[in-house]
Amino acid sequence: MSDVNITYVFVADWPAYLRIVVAGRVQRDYFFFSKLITDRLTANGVRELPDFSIFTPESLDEVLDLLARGGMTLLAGGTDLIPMMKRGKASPVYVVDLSGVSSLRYIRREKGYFLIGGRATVKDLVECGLFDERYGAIKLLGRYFGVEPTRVMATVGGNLASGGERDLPQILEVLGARVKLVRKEGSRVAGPLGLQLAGDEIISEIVFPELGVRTYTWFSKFEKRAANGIGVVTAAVYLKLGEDGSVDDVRLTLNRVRGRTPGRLYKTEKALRDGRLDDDTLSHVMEVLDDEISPASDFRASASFRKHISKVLVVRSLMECARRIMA
Amino acid sequence: MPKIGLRINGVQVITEVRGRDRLIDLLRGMGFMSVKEGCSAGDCGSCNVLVNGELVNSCLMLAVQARGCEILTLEGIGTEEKPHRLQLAFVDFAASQCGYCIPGIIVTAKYLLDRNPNPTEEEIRRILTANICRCGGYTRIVEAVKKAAGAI
Ligand SMILES: Cc1cc2nc3c(=O)[nH]c(=O)nc-3n(C[C@H](O)[C@H](O)[C@H](O)COP(=O)(O)OP(=O)(O)OC[C@H]3O[C@@H](n4cnc5c(N)ncnc54)[C@H](O)[C@@H]3O)c2cc1C
Ligand code: FES
Ligand code: FES
Repeated sequence: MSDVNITYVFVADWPAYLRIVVAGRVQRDYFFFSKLITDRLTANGVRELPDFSIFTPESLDEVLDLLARGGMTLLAGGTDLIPMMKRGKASPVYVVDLSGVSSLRYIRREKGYFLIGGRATVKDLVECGLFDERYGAIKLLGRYFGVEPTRVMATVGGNLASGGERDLPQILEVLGARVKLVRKEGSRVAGPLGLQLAGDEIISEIVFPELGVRTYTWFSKFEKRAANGIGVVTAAVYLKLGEDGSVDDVRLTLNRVRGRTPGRLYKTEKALRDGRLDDDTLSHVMEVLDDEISPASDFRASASFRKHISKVLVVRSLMECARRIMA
Repeated sequence: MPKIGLRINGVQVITEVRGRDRLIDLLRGMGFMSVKEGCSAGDCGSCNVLVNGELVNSCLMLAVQARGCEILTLEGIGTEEKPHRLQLAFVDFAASQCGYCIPGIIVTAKYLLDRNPNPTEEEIRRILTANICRCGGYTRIVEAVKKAAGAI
């Protein structure tokens, strides 16, 4: 062992630094921190998050046990929760980190259904290769959902749990998805829009049926900046056409149906069903849509502008779907 | 207090962290000052690093979430003695003004070139929506990335 050389150096009082050299070649470098490195953070001018305790479970059972204790906040990709903590809008006491629960990160196709684990990321959805072109609404997340790091980090479960104007509830609703929520004492199933979670529940799985023939889905977003998260208007569409080109089935969602609440456009869907997508029908359908929605104004856009863009996106999305089904 | 192990720029690190410590806090606390805090909310990309090769906002990830991971910051991409070809291209095009956003931009560009060695201008511009440059020097930044990719 005469050619093994271990260097142990202190840089100031910390970190301790260990270099293992064998036969003149560096094998490995180690840093050890005996002292909390974050003691120095204030000196670096970094603004800290509020304090909380962290749990790092590795299985769903462990997560459910922790949730059953009460007072826990789940953390997945952190893209909603961490900014909220920074802004002082969330101050959790106990945080349960889901990054180690790999059993919740999957996308599978089984017996005519897609099964998506609650911890699957948006990037997993876009890049898994299981969705053909009919799943345009999912593919378009790669263009419209945040930016690349957001898609890497953000999870499906976190997006559904955040509620409000989020992309996945709208897209999953038109895909006919059901969301499975579990707690230690059992489970339930709910629709993706307007989910209300109890404190001890976790979104474990999302299920939706494979699309049939002559169907297509689309998602579009009108935003002020190509990299913006919250769009002015987002629209998701599912369309099924009959052999003669008439509408067999349709599902539509918008980010603001009433006030700031996302939802389905049941009346507009009804006006579309069994008709053709010609100019006359569409102009009638747009009157129905105009009556059906009353989006709230805010600093991003006025109510009347939102209404106008809502109509534009719904028509465009329907036409995109129809064109691709007929092709 | 959780004790975690991770590799930073190829060096194995074992440290205790508090729950509230974000990855950016850990990295800056260790002296990796290329990792900049801009918005703290995932909007600006100044804090971008690679975690197991994936592009991540280190301001939105807790340090404990990086346990067992391989982290790459600008310091691990190139040094003054041995700059990366992206860094050389940024110098050639004088693509850096105040420089605050540049480490994050180079990390984003490296992520792109690792996956797609011959990106189109559209692809370069699309991925760089992940980064904001307040000096507004986007034209030269895009030119520099094109050059590093061998397109110019
Ligand atoms: C720059 C940026 C751009 C964005 N762009 C978009 C966009 O274009 N479209 C869009 O829809 N959103 C966007 N968002 C919002 C955000 O990315 C999502 O809402 C995200 O999907 C939340 O998931 P997460 O894993 O990051 O959740 P976290 O932030 O970790 O958690 C969010 C909430 O969900 C809860 N939670 C997490 N996982 C579960 C689970 N499995 N079961 C139950 N509860 C859970 C948490 O307790 C927390 O309350 C953007 C965010 C940023 C920072
Ligand atoms: S500081 Fe992390 S994205 Fe702006
Ligand atoms: S060079 Fe100043 S912010 Fe980009």
